[in-house]
Amino acid sequence: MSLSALISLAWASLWNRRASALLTITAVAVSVMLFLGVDKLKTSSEESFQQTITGTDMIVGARTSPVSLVMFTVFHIGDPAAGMTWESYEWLQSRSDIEWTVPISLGDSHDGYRVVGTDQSFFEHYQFRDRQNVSFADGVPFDDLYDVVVGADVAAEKGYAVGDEIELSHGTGPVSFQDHSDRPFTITGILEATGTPVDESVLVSLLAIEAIHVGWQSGAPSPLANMMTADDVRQLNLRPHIISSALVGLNDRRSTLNTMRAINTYSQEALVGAPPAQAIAEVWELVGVAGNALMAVSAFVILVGLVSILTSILTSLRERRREMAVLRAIGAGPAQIMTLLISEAVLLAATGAAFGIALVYLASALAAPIFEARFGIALAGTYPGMTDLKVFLAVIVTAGVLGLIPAIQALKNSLADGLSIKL
Amino acid sequence: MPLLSLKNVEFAWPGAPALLRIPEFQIEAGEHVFLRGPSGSGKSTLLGLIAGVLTADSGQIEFAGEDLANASNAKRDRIRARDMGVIFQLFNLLPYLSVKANVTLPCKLSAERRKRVAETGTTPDDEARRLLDRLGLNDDRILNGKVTNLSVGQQQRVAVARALMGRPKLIIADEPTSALDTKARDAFLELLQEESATAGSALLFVSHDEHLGTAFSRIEDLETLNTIAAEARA
Repeated sequence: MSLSALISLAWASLWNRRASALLTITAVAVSVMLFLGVDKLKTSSEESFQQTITGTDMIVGARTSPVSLVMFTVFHIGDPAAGMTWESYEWLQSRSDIEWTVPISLGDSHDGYRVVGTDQSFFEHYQFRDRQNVSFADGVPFDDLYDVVVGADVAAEKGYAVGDEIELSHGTGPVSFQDHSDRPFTITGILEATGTPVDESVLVSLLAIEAIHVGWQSGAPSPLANMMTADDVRQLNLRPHIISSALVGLNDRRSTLNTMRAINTYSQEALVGAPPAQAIAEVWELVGVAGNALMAVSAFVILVGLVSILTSILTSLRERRREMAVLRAIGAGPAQIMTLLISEAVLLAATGAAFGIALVYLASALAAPIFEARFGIALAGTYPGMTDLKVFLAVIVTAGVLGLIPAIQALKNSLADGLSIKL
Repeated sequence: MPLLSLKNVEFAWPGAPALLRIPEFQIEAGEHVFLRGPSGSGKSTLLGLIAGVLTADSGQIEFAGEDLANASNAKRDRIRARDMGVIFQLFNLLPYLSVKANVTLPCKLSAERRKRVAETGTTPDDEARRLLDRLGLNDDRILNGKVTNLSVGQQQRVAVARALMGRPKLIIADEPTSALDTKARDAFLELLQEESATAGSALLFVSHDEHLGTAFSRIEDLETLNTIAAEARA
């Protein structure tokens, strides 16, 4: 009997038991969907994580480990151990191999959100994902000393609109007893969601950072600070002294190593320059462990789905003993009986896996806009790719191997039964 | 040369005492034989040996000029698919196939059988229709309908049609009438003999019911053929 005839026989047999077959197919479909869904999310979040900053060739700060430099500059996790002087920043700007720089000054907060001191160059040069610049959902960049631009999450969660006045506090705690309530900042712009820590940032000019700290140089407000009004501060001749780090774009990427050496050996101050991609990849190795654990769990869920195929075929064997005897009588050999049962397992698995893959793409097509807007994660792969094919094949092969168990059982039965039918 | 020839065939189920020892048994081509034996006497086992589903412990079994006893399993399966039609007591049909698909199934398993149908200038489907028509099942609704909608008598007739499909050399019928009432049984027996004759197939009809033997010209008793049973009786 040809393989195609056996497969059509297997189909007919499954169709005859379609209620239980459908349940089995559903179990496989859901498990495959879960696995591919987790894989997709993992890939997408990894991509999105690694593309938190693009277009920046180097991050420069006071000497520390590259990972911690990138962690506080890009992800706002941890604090710089030491600052970098404004003179060193000006030295960077003056170098001919450096095309552009963006200053970053951290250390203050607004209601738990990081205040990032920078300048106009941030809007021009900070890029994420496929070299996208930040864009404004509403309003314009900061210009005045007391102007502030807020990230998408900050605006959404606090319900801010352009024109609202807010307080900025010294220190980074969620609640500060030392609000600079006498110096109100005005929101001039709200950024579009980026899926990066920028969404949770409050951006101000470097001078604004200085303004917050007037009278605070000792670490606690001096009587002087309390006496000064916002307008008094305006009259001071403020200029930045210390920043946390700088984003650097090179004229020619090939000079990265030379520029890095020059920065690392700068004689006036102990600095470090690090390409962000490498440090981000190192961080992901730590963070990605959770994703791998999820993958392992969902791989086991697939196995459970496949075992349900095994269960359904094994339980059907008892009532199908006569069917096997009839097939033997008509001339089917043991190999054909086994092929028939393995075909059934493979058909169930293939149908389930195909449904699972279809469901993943349906779900990701529906969820993509939500993920994009809410989490700034671009879901990977809109069309089925190699991963899906590999999972599909792995599921089929595993089902075929598991199918050997009922096949061997059926073989034993039919050899024991001979040509008699057990009633 | 006889169609089927058994010589000194012995068989025992694993771990059980010898069940069958048959010094000699033959069936000529086209011959109709009634084999009588009480239940448990090893009828089904003998049929399994003849059909090549079981392997004899010793002795010779020749069928249509081929050495069944020493053939490989695959070859015996091929010979059975090609040249034998088997009818059981009950549950002859695959419940998930239509009546027509059940009848044409042997043609799917054996290319030779398919060829023999083609040689008579017809297709398996048309041959199935013709056979079922001869057996009094000429309704298209029955033909394309589910097997489970048929009465037991109808199912047994469908089984006859399947066994006869492609004119096999030997029809093996194992108590095919025991689930039928007397009237249906006689009609079934008549049809089976008639159609086997038309197809030119030999018929080996096995039953514990001696009354059925009256319709056969040759009657054999398994307990006589089987020397183990004969010795036990003596």
